[in-house]
This record gives sequence, C-alpha cells and structure tokens, in this order.
Amino acid sequence: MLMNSSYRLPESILIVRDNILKKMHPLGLSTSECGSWCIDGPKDTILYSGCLYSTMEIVYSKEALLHLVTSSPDKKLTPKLARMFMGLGPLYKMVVSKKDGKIYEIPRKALEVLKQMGMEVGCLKEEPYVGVLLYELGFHNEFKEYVNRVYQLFKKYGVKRIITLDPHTYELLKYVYPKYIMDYDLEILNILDIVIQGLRDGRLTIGGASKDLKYVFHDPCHYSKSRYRKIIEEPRKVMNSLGLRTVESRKSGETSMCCGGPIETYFSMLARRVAEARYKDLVSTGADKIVVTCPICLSSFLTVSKDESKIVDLIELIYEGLER
Amino acid sequence: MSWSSYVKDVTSILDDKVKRLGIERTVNHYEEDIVKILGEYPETLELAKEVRKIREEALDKNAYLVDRLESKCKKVGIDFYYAKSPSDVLRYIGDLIGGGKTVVKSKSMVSEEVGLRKYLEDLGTEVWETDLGEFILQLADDTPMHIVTPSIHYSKERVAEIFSRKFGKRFDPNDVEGMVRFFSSFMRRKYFESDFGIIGSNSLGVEEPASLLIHNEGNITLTYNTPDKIVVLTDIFKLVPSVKDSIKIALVTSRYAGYRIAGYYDVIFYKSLVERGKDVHLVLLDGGRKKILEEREFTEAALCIKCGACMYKCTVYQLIGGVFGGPAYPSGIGTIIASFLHGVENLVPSLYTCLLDGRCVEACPIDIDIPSMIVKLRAYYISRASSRYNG
Ligand code: SF4
Repeated sequence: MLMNSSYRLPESILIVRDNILKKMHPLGLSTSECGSWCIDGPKDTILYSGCLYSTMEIVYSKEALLHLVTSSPDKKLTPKLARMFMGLGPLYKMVVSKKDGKIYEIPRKALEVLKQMGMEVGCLKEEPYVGVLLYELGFHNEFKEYVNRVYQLFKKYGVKRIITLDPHTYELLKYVYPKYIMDYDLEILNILDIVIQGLRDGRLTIGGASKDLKYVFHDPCHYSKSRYRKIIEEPRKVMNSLGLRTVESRKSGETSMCCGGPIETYFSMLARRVAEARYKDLVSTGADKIVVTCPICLSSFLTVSKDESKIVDLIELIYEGLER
Repeated sequence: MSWSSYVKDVTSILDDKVKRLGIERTVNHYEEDIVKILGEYPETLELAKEVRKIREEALDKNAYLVDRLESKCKKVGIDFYYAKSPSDVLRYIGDLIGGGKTVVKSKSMVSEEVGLRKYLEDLGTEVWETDLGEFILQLADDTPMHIVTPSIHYSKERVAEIFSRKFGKRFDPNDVEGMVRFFSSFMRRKYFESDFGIIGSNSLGVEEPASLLIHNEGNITLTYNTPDKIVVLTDIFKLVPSVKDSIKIALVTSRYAGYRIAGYYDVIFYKSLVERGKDVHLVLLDGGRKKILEEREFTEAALCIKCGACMYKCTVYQLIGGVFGGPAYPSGIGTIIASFLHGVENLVPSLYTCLLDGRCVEACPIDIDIPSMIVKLRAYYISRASSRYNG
C-alpha cells in the first residue's frame, strides 16, 4: 500500500519500541533495575510487578522532564535529542535513577502482605517489563518476539506460578500471552483473589480503619471493563473488610472512566486533561481519599493532585491494615 | 494534514468553553436518560441482541442483498446506481441534478462523507439542510460533531448570532422557539420551491424495497413528499432482508440514541413513491466498505447501527468531541470505519488518541468490541507502514 500521508508515528512511540527491544524496558531500565525492589529472589511462585511500579514512579517523579518529549505527538524535537530524554542518551541516569517513592514501594508492601498470609512467594531480582506498550501501540510482531523472551526468563528462574498486582499485567499474562507463546503453562493469579481467599479462611486479618475518612474507589478500565474477566466487586470486598467508609462515584464499575494513562507516552497534554476530569469527578463525591489498584492510575492522579496522601493504592491500605 | 494541525484542533476545542459546555450538557443528559430508558424498556436489551444477529446475517450475504436490491428496484421502477467510490456518487447525482436547481436534503452521513452539498453548490444548485442541527452547521460552514445530534457544540447565543448575520435581522437568543419558528417557515418555502429531495436510510429492507428513517422534526417526511424527484443516498451496510428487520433496528437505534420513542419512524416503500408519480433514484455507496467485509478482523465494525451511544460515553469524545474520529463519523468506531473509507494512514492521530478504556463497548447495544479492533488496527497500520519505521 502506498503511504501518502504525512503522518508519522510520534517519535516517543518509536523510542519506546526501540528501548523495549534493546533494553527490555520502555525507558531503558535494565532488568536488575526493574527488580531492585526484590530482595529474596525466585521461588516456584513469584510476585511479579511487570516493572510497572518502578516505571510509573519515574513517569510521576520525572514528569516535567518527560513532558518535554511526550506532551504532544507533534513534538518537533530531533530524534537524537528526544532519545536523550527517554533513556538512551547521556541523560539516562538522570531520568531513570529512582529507587524509592510511593509508587515504587508498592510491590514490596504486597510481598509483605503475602508473607503475612504464610505464603511462600519469591520475586525476580532480574525482572522483565511486561510489554504492555508494545502490545497496545500495535507492534505485534515485536510483541511476539518480546514476550517469548520474557517467558524464557520466567522459565530460567523456574517460575511456575505468578501473582500479579495490577490490571495490565494480569490481563496480558493471563489472557494475551497464551495467544503468542507456544505451550504456555504459567499459572496466573490475581492478588485480589488471594487476599479475598485469605480473608475468608482467616489467614489474613486486616482492618481497624479510621471512620473519619471517606474513600472512593476508582475502577481501572482493564478490570471493570475487561473483555475477559470483569473485576468489579473484588476490590470493594477488600475495602469492606478493611472497614472503610466508602462512597461511589457517578462513573463506577462498568461505566468508570479512564485516568488518561494509556496515551501518556506521546500525548501527555491530553492525558493530563483526562486525568483532571476524572480526578474532579472523584473528588466531587466528597471522598477524602481515592483508592486505586493500578500504578498507571496512581501516577496519573498523583500528577494532577500533587497531594500524595490523597490517593492510595489498595495494596497500601491492606499493608497498613496488617499493622493494626 | 499533519500532527500539528490535529494537535491544534485538539487544543482549540479543549480551550473553547462554549463548545465544551455544549458537549458536556448533552453528554450528561444522555448518561441520565439512557439509564431511565433502558429501565423503562428492559426488553430493548433482548431486542439489541436480536439486532446483532440480523446485522451479522445481513453482512454475511451482503453481496446477495445488493444484487437482490438491484433487481427489486428495477421491478418497482426506480433507478438503481451502485457507486464504487465517493466520486461516483458525486458524478451520478451531479449529472442527475445539475445546476440552477433547488434541493432539500435530510441529514445523511453518506452525503457528509462524499461532500455532496458542497459539490452541488459548486454546480450552482441551492441545497438546504432540513434538519435544524444540520441547518445551523450549514449556515456556520461547520461540520457535524455527532451523528445523531450534529450541532451539540452550538449554544443558543451562537445560533442567534449566526441567524442574525445570515438573515439580516435580530434574533433573541432567549427566544429559542422564535428561531425554530423562523427556521420552519423559511424551510417551508424551500420545500415548495424544491426540484429534488435527498434522503438517506437508517436501514433498508430489500425484499419489498423500503428505507426506514428515524427523525424528530418531521422534516424528512416533507423532504420526500414535496419534490417530484427523490434521491435515496445510502451505503451497502444498510441492507437487511426485510422491513421487519429495519423496524427492529430502528427501535434499538432510537432508544440507544437517547429517545424513549423518536418523533417519527418513516417506512418509505419505493413502490408507493413511484405510484404517486415520483422519479426515484437509489444510490448505493461502497466507498471502501467491501474491504471491511473482506478484512475479517474488522468486520464487526460493520455491525454498527449508528445510534451514537458510544460517542456520548467515550472519555475522549467527552473532552474533544468530533475532533476524535473519522470525518463525519466520530469516535473509536468512526476511526475504524474511516480507516477503510479513507485509508488507515490518514487516521493515525485518532488511532493513537483512543484510550482503549472500553466505555464504548459498555454503551454499545450491539456489543461491538471497539478497543480490541483499535489495537488490531494499529498493528495493521504498522505492518503496512513498516518500511517507514524500521531501521
Ligand atoms: S458502535 Fe455501537 S454504540 Fe457506537 S454508534 Fe455503532 S451501534 Fe451505536
């Protein structure tokens, strides 16, 4: 087909693709940097963050810097300059060196929760990025090659079962990977199911939340509107077990609204407007805190709100509930 | 077109408070209304499932239905013209109508797609949009923002201003009824002066060939009743075996468009138009649609009944309206269809503006999986353009 249009994919999309193929990460993190949250090392069952928490920590904390390249798809930066900002050039360390922070800490907290339940769970010190951007941006040949590399890594470490934390990793590993990998035999579990099971059989006790605050849950799209398995009640069950006072947003469950994250990589100006609209919506419920269960949502709302105490990941709440 | 003009359009609508307010108001009403309507008519959900089946079967035998329609039209005594491309439509209708005529037309996405009004005007023919929303856009020289409610981005103040400028007298923005009355009497004159009436179809039953049209203003009935010569302009996806199918589709379409019951559902049997001495021409456009039927991964998009529900519910649409999507066919579903009508390489911005959040699927009566197709379409685009992006 003759391509006569003057449109080209935004430069930042191509950088992301190249970074993933060359370094296994959209911003050029190495697998050991992705796995820096992991202390124990692999077991049969691992907790896997898809490297999304480390990534979104960078996206959130280095937002101003990344915005220079990602704000709009018509950015006229030369590829060389753009690549400098996005993990390939000399500014690399400046962009990617971040090994703490609210989002970054979540996988560690999740691991702690699972251990408290008496589970034997490991993690990968060399953790590969899950590949969601290759898939969603349409690089499907590259995605196929990439996920087979990821799969080999899981195999290398003898992984049999994977517990996921976020909707994107869950959906990809459970429902999309099998379409691209021959004889895929990993068992994929969702931490929400495990937590609910633990609450039911008494291996997990949480609660004692303050009654002064009101919480609103923001459904992530790939749970509440999933084509594969809709997850709507589960997070609410957990919130109930925590004894939280909750309110519902006008757009919740199947009609919940996006946080803008999916276009953050190349159109962050518009992504920001989406996040603002959704944030306003959530705040208008009168809730004191917004509960999320996806690192992309978390980063989007943190960027808008600037108030780190206003938005909490469900994992953080469970973790805090442990100590009571 | 380039990215920068797209980004400019996005930015300008984001910053246009009046337009944004118009969209927001319509969208909020819709979100409330649709819940009530489906509560009052729960059987609509079942009917929607049946409509999906009707549409699937009709698309499966689309080629047969097209042939069948041609022979039925001959029998009834109307002209049938199969247009491969938009330029075929323009040539045929241009030759038919020519210059120096007066034409009344009702809202039709196909005419928008091919640029019919502009083409006829350039030939020296007067063309009047008989739908109030379209009429406003015509005066303002603007394009539709939504397939059911085209001018939601216009406030009454803007409309009063446009009317005042065009007709050289003052209109009071607070007297909406006054403006509507003016429009009706203006249009009434045009109906009686008109040489041709152009209508579309929400659905077209083949066996006893008839168009079904849904409207709220009564304008369409006048558009096909007043002039002696009628052009029915529609596309190949609209064909279903029978009028009964069309009626079911119409009910689901109007409910999901946000109407308990629309003002009018006209079933126009071509035979009865002929019997009343009218000269009727049916123009059926392919314009790239056959390609959608061939590319099986995307055929589901052709099931769309154009109710507009997914647009009202779309996160991106709620912010930037019709800037997102194909020309004349906004939003995610519009992006998919338009990619085959105009070439996927021309839809790159919308293709990559979609958030894949799936609100559209939840809204859609036909349960069309728009986000999955958008992802596949990105892959389809990239595989076709790979030489640009490799190395
Ligand atoms: S995709 Fe579905 S909701 Fe959208 S216009 Fe078509 S039928 Fe209606």
